[in-house]
Amino acid sequence: MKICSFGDAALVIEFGKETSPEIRQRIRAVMAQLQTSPFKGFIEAIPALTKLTVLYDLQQTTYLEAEMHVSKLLNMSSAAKPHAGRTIEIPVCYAEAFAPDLNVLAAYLKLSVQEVIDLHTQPLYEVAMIGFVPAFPYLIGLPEKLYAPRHATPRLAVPAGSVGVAGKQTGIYPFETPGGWQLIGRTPVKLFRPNAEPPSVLQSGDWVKFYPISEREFFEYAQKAA
Amino acid sequence: MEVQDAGLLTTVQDLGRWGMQHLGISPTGAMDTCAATLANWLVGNDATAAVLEMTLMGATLQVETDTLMALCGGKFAATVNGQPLPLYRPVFVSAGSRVACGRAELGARLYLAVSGGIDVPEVMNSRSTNLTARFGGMAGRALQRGDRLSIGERTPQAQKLMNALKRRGKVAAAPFFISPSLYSVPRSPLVVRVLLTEQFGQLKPESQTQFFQQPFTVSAHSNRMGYRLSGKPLEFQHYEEQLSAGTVNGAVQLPPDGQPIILLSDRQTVGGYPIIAVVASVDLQKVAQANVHSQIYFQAIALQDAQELYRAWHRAMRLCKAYLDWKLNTLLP
Repeated sequence: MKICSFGDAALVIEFGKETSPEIRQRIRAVMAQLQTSPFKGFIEAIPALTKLTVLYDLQQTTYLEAEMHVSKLLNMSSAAKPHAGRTIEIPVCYAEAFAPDLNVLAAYLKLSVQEVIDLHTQPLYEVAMIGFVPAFPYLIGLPEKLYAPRHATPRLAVPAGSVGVAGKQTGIYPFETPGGWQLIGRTPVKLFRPNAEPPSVLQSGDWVKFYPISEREFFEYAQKAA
Repeated sequence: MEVQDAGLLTTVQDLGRWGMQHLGISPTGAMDTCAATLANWLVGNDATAAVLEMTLMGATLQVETDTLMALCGGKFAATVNGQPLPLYRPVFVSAGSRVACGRAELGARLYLAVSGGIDVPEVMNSRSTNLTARFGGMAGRALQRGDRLSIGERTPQAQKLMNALKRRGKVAAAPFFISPSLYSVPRSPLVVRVLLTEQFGQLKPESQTQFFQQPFTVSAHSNRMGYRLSGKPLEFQHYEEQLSAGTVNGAVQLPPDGQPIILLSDRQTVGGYPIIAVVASVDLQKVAQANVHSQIYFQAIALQDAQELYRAWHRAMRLCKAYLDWKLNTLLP
């Protein structure tokens, strides 16, 4: 474990070179501790796969003070229990109208469309972190058979709720943005709700299970949510 | 106030939506927090009140009620009813006036504060506009022609100053202003002080030298997410693929094309490109005022020096606040 300064108003704790479920749990535990018992001048922390970035207020503290506090906390928190993530089931409609890349992707992977859907809905995915854009989950656990390259030219607008795969990852676009992932379905669940508390349905450390729904169910769900 | 012309990019901002980056929500907020704070203080607001941030070409506003306002930031050719509108001081503007914020003559961003603050709903404890996720500020977007902005309640102090100025005419500027020694708009070439990161050491030695010796030009593709710089490309000695990690305002990212990007208020909360340096907090406002085609020279600064400079700047700001409070409490002759 290593702590170093990052600019004049942040520090970075590196928990290891490679990411692992243990490291991510440890990062979440330290993050939770910082949030529940913040040091003087603590602004916020950004958890990632191997690092936790801690932002502090220069008016209230110095790097040395912040570093001292964080190292003390790291020594203590080895005993802290990492919080258990929730399992959240997310309905996905894999119908052609919502899955512009599914047929081509299945052909590329030498699988049938149904096999792609079965493979995609099979694992329990870990929300490794939230980032990139608001409420966007980095999901870990995609079956190797579904690894696929991203589009060379990103789409200018990917509709909200689109479920995609790219490289070793799968994810859900929380709102319409440009994006280069292969789109294989869409969920009616609104992942980002700016006026709700918390605004992101998923939190780092949660588990996601996808289940297939029909187009009719998609619209029924969307209507209910609205 | 009604927006008659929205200018190039005018958004509602405050000092940012902090504390939500673990959910991917960038801090947003005024790019030049110093100018936004001073504009607010000039009209008796808290530093955290919402202001309008204008970019290169200012907005034109029809003022519908008597207003006390202040413009701070880049030097824009602002007018009120066709007459020059002075910057860096409180100005009384009567109902029915037309305020045109004009074009940037120096700097890039102008902040308009009105006494009482721009009254838009708070989302996650902030009124800043998040253009990426389209929430906060004015319906999550830049202002458009025809938008009507509500104004919050003035402090008694500000009301008193406004009444005093009102006796002087339809438009009247207060006799006090922000000293240029506290706030001045940087001219190109800018010297931006940076703290180096570990990854800086992985650059080729000639690229390390180049980073400090060559001027970088601010590209036209710069925006509130980041300033794209162009110069002779920088190269890594050995490039290690990075796992995405948290970013900060002022982080100098180096994508594979070797052209640095300075990440700013609307940046992504995590990024995978190497970060070779971070701009000193005290110089972020300089970057925010750098215009397209401005030149930037980087200069290294030690952590302790950067933190001390910031604190010194903050002390100067507090003094200024005390001065303004005293001025706002002193009735005009």
